[in-house]
Amino acid sequence: VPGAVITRAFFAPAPAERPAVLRVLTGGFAVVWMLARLPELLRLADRSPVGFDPVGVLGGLDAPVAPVAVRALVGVTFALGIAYTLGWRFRATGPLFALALLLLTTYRSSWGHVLHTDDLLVLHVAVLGVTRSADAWSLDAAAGRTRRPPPETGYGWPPRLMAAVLAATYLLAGIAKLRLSGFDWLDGEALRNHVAYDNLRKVVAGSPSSPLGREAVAHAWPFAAMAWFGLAVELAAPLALLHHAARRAWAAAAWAFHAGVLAMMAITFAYPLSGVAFAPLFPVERLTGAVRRTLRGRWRSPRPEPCASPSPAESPG
Amino acid sequence: VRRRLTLLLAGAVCAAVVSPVLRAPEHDSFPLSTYPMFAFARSRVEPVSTAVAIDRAGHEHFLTPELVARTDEPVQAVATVDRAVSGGTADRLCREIARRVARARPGTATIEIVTAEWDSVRFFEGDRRPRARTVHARCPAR
Repeated sequence: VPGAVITRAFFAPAPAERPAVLRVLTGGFAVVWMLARLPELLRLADRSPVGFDPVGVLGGLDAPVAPVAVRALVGVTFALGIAYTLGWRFRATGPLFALALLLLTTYRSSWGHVLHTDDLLVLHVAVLGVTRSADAWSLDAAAGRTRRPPPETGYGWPPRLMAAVLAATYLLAGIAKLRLSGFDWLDGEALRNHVAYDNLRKVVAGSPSSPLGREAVAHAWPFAAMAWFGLAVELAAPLALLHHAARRAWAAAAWAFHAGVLAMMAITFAYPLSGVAFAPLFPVERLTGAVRRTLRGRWRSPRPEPCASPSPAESPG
Repeated sequence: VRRRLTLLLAGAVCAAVVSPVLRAPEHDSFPLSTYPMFAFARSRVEPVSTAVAIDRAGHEHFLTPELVARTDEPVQAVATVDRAVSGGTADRLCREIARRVARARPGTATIEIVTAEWDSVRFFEGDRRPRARTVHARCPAR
């Protein structure tokens, strides 16, 4: 019976606009992320082999790839990101963008330290890139290149799979703390030392550190509360899959958690901080109605007369 | 049949994402990971490897990640120095950094690849003296 309940919930119907809006949000985020990081991404081509430590799908490499190949990968990923976002020839560009983004971000993490700011974006794009997320709000839909999906599966499950992946990554982070530090993690000392060490590492590496974190490490007491809060957010992530009120509460708490990390350690988890990471938890297709109403209002409403007095219906009170 | 296939694929994706939990908790990879970066107990006194510039007056300056390892990420710059120290290539890295620094900071005389130990909490309370300092490589900035 639980299996039937899960199946029914997983395949509950959703409009084509839901994965489409998620495609536009994740693709738009990825394109802006690449633009903002362009100098850093291009410098990947010139890095010293001394620091090369390949991970993930690139684990088999024994040396950095040719600079021209790295620059080509950056250019191709950017172009595919635009095609993915616009939903152009999506049956090809969706999976290709997912693959290119995986390769680019994996290569970026192959220099001695894995950058976990990118994981969730890559996983979400992978889900959307290989599913029917361009059947609405896309150039393919405008050109009539889409077909309705089989009614027994529909459009609801890719966002739910993204939400499950989202919850799983946070849960894993919580489990890692319990496996590596046990409940000692909750006394706050480990977190305090992490914040101090991370800021010190930034100072000696000639980078901006967090003024708040530098001040806070002089005091032990806030870190126990922060450790409890952080671990609770991570372990409670699966609750966000169960009920819409829990979803809102957890997403707000998780966003606050990342805002705290930014404030204390100057580490920007841009994907969750932008809110896009949490979008699969919500009926984001409603955004399209809001956007339409806004655009219609902008383009069609006559400009108000200067100094016009409000109509009785608009009058306050 | 289509539903079963979709469920199977979705289950495989979820299993892949949670599969790192079966590995050693400190194992890290991308994009599938146990997310161990802030999970382990860290002591107050820990070593940090980095490259420093010594100017002609003998003063020491920290170098940016871009000069150390051609990156914006301080954590990867430190990791690159760590790998050079543990892999016996500190001299090579020192010369690479020296070439970049000679162009960017003409007043620099020497580059050093160092590992220093600080009490990270006391560091921000004003005690900036390292507990220990090892120079692994030294080279002229040119």
